[in-house]
Amino acid sequence: MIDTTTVPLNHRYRFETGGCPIEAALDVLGGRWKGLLLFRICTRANRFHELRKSLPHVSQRMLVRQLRERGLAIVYISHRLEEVVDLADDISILRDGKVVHSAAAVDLGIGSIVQHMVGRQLNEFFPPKDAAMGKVRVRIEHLSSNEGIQDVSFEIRAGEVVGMAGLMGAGRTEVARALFGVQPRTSGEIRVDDARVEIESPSDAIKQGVVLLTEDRKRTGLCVELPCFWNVTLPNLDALGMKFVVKPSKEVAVSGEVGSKMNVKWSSPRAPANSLSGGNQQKLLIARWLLAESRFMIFDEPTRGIDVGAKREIYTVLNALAKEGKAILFISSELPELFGVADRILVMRRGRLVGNLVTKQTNPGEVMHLAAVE
Amino acid sequence: MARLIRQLLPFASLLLIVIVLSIWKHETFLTANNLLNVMRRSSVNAIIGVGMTAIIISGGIDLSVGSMLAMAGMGGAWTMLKVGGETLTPQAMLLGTLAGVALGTFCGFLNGILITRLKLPPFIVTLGTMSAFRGISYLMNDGQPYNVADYSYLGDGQLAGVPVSIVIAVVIIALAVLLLRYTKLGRYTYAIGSNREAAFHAGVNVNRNLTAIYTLGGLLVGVAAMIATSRTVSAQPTAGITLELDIIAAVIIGGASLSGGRGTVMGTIIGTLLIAFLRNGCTLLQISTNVQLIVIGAIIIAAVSVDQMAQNRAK
Repeated sequence: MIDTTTVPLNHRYRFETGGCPIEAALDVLGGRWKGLLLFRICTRANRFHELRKSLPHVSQRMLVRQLRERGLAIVYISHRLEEVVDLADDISILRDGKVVHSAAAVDLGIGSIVQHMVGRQLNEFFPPKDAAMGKVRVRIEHLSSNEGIQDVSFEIRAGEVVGMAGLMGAGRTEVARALFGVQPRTSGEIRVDDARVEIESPSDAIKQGVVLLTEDRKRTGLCVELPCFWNVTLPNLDALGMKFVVKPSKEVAVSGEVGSKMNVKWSSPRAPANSLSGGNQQKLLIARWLLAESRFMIFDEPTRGIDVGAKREIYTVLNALAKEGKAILFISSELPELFGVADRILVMRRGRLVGNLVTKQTNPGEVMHLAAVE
Repeated sequence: MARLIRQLLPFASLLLIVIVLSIWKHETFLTANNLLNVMRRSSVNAIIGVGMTAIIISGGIDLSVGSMLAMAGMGGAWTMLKVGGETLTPQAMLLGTLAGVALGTFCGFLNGILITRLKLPPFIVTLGTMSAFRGISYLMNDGQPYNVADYSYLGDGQLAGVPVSIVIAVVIIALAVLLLRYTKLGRYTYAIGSNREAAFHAGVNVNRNLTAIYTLGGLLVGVAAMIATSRTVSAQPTAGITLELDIIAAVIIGGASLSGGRGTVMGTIIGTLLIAFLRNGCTLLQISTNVQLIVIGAIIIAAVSVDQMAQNRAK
């Protein structure tokens, strides 16, 4: 009989032991949870910090080893592949909520783990990309922020879609937040069309033609109970010439235009945003940025949690935007998607840019390897 | 459908009260004098309610309006007496009025700055300033009122046969409706209240707009304070105690949501009149003020629970 209590180790450990020596801490842990210990590694930078604070002198590996010697069964959940190979006796690989492979660790190398993680065929539909690439439009130099990203530099050409891959907590969203001025950068430079741009807030970014489709449309995207057209025009009122007075009838008209361009299915632009399905809400937010005079567009997980039909529409719009000469940064956790739409793929790991690959000359295995292996 | 009912309910209740009183107590209720009186008394609450509506739509609250009313009134009256001496000249009264409005505006600005710069919840900041403003009001004249015997125009005067206070209130209401509906500030107010993070990510300067909203709220309290001072031809340091509760109640009855993003000026006006006519009716029916409090309390709870039901059904 196995006791399957999940132990959020970092919190509980600190709470129970209050900083006493490792031996005593292990006794507490070993005594309390005889059976199965689920060891979930928290990868978000801030949580890591917390774990380090609570375990100043011990590495996680040592802790796990010592707990094992004390007779605990441990499920170690991590995407740090070297740690996994190093620590585990048996390895199970999950993908899309299913176990796709289980084997003894000695029989599995990092390479074959990566293969199983990627697994899927690249068989989803992606419209052919036909945008011509122009000169360098966006140049990011030595970008750092206090959210854990360090010295990130890359370029994007006009008409180029650059994908960004990385595991959870690798710092992809943080790059987007720094570029859009949500979390002002601590150092580094952003140049658009060869001119340095000063971005200290989203408002600055929008004025400079830098826009971000955020990863969480409920929390940072929509005002759900407000009318659709308000959501579309909200960041664009100045650009529409509405410096002080808003003109709802004009707003409805322009919203209707970009809405139909995005094929948003609404009863009317005046309907509240929460009357739309998830996919249509996402298209509504993209429609908002179609209205902005943007030069550099950042899409953070634009297809997460929406239906296949809406995904395809988004890919098509992405191509159309590239064709207009915009520079596009496309952040995604779905490798097939990145390979389907991106000209180049940047790979993030632990807040650093560790790969800058031309899509046609690489493969999902290489990207995953860069993302997961030290 | 549920939404429509919710929007019509305050208005229907107001109508019901007026009709019942018109039939039951027509000889005392349905006189021009009585009706004008109720409206005139509502004008102070309506003007403050307009500002509170914007603040509540933005997801905030201002508990300090009652104390602010006393402080602005005292400041205005003090200025009049300083400038004009015992016999108030028109210039002194004008200057005093402007001073009172300016003081209210400053108080609102202070609330806004504290809320946005110190990143404190509006409830806490205005709870603090509620106490502080009251204290200052008492300090100004050792707890004594300032008498301004000739300052009666705003409270008692008439403009083309209509009480001045009602004219001022109607103008302010009209401007506020336009402001919330047809200006960028109004739009941003709704957006910030609906989802502050989303508004920020859409390039809205949240701090600047919130400060503007609290400042406008303070300005309106300043105007209301001078009307209240004029009505009693004296500035009382005890004016407006628990006023904030009546104002917030009117805004909520009018359909605004304390979680922000929802509310209208017209709703607040209906809520204000509802409370005023209820009070008036209770007085005419010789129901004690103590019972009035219970009735108003029950109506607040009823209004919000109907709101909840309507929202749950909508989901």
